Amino acid sequence: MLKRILLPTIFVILAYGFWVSPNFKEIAAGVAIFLFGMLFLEEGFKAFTGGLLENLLKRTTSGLGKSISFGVVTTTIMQSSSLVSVITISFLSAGLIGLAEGIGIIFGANIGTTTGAWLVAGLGLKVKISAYAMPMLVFGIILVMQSSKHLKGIGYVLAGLGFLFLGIHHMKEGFEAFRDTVDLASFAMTGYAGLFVYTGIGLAATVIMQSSHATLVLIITALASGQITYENGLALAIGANIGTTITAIIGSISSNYQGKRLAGAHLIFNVTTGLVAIVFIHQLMWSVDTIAAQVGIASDDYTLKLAVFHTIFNTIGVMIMLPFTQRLVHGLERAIPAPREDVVEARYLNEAVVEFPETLLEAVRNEAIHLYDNAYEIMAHGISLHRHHINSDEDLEDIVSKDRKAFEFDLDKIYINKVKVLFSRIVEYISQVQNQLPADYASDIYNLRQACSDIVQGVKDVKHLRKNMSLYISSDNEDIRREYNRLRVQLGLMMRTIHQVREGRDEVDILDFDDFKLDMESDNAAVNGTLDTLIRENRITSTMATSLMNDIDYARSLIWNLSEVGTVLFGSLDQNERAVEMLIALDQDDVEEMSDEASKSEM
Amino acid sequence: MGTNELLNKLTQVLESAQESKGRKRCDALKNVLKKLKAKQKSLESKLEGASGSQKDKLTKKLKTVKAHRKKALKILKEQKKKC
Repeated sequence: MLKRILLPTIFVILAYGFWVSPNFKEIAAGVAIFLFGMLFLEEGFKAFTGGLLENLLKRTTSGLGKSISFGVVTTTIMQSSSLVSVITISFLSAGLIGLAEGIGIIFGANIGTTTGAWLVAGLGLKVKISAYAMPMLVFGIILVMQSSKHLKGIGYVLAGLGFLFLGIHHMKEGFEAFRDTVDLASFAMTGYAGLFVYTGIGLAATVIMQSSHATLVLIITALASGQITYENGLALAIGANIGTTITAIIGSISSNYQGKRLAGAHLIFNVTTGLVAIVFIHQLMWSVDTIAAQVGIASDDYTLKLAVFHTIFNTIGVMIMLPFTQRLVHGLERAIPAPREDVVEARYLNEAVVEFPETLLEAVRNEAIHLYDNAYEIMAHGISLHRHHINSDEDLEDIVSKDRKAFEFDLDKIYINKVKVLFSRIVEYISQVQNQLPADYASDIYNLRQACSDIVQGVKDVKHLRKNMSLYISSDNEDIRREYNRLRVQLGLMMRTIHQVREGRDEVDILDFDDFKLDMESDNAAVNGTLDTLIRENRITSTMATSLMNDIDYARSLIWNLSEVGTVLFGSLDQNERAVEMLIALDQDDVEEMSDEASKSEM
Repeated sequence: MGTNELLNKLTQVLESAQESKGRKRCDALKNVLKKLKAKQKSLESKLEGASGSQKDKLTKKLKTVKAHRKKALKILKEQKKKC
């Protein structure tokens, strides 16, 4: 209920905000563009997974020392710790680096960002990457349209960065109206209360201006004009350092749990460093004064002294946090757990049955049936049929002709979680126990393993088949729709027969599977001339025809795989009878011979 | 018991096991053939009253059953020598 009303409520609140405040609209649009940039960035980095960038990152960030250096260097070059942290979140979300490496980069970025203070203070320089936002967008989008995977990836990264800057620009523009309301002198206070208040102001100013460098400039101006005390100026710098994490926090909204963990690490690091700096502010001030005196910085040169302070407290922060990195990783993993995947586990395989061959065989057979049940869900839904329809006695032709809607589901995800995992476990188990089985059971265990392999192959057949089937069963072209529905019915009936054999119905047995093999061989659109007629009469396009030809092959493969599976898993309980049934079931040669005879007799 | 005697005994046991296996296979074959014959008869009687697509369907099914029976009889013939 809450979930259903949440989205409309958010929309109404946002719409009201847009109506009453153009600035709010600008800020919200900025956040949206920023998040869009994050999505692009992640997409771009995914293109390099397993490639040059991943290798490069692995080499340059393996170990905490290396990842800290990486953070220092990249932030010094880019002159934006926020950007580096946002890119690191993208790396992490794309699986290019681990959380510990990501935290190392964040530590490094906090040291690297202090070079900005030196550039602002000492050289009056500021590298402004945002100036490249528009060209980045243009070059990025052009590259996105290229066919090369890597060029596309670079395009996504460039366009992502462009959108990030564009988003930040809009957020800044939106907050511009609130900027003048900040009167630093009006909060003048002494002692720790003043420190905390100015830390809060520094934090808020950085969130508003989306730049710790801009806050730094504001502090220097206020210090020079005597609006604030030197101590309050340092508190503002501490606040700016905490406020700079807002970009990473916004960036993590669109990222996965790993990105959120890193944003959490960033926040924890900056808050801890800030708290330590506030507690030891007098010691830090003494250190700054000592260093300033040693290197010849004038006592009233607050600009350079601020740069010294920034460097000292961030370096101390890294030194304090470094020994706790692993604890931080574990803590974040507990606080922000990975989403629980619906991964299936083996139900029947255990070590206790190894001593008893019959029980062991039964356990493997039951697990194979468990695997089939999971695969059956994918196979049925893959041909857009419900299992309860297949398992019933309802007319499938009637059902498919009425329902033209393809089922939407993540086949790959279900395959990985419910089929592949179980198949791997069965194969592993069989490999472990087969040496302990008497020779008499070797063929049975081999057949069961082969059946499991056929189940997996069947799912793969459906995966290929599904693409065009989903498209053409809802097509307005009646002819192509009919042919695909025919395949659906044939496959559905095959699955139904397996279900009936499994239920032990008297009127069916595993030899009935051969009807479907023969039907698929001799009576499909590619063989019986239907396809030629449809092409000749321009009733279907050549693309539709080739798709159908390929999909008939997949359907044929599925029928054969299902037949093998049904025979091994649901054949007669009597071992001899099952062996006989397997012997007399039609093989490929029999089916071809019979279908040749049938076509000759029709001529 | 001498070695030769022991070997003979062992051979007898193995042969009887093999024979029993073959016999079981023959019995299973006969059983399946019986079922197939019943199935064929049932299909033939259904076919008499069928028409249209139902008739085509039953004809195809009958063909498959006949193919199974042919294959089973061939195997039984070979197996009978061992039974």
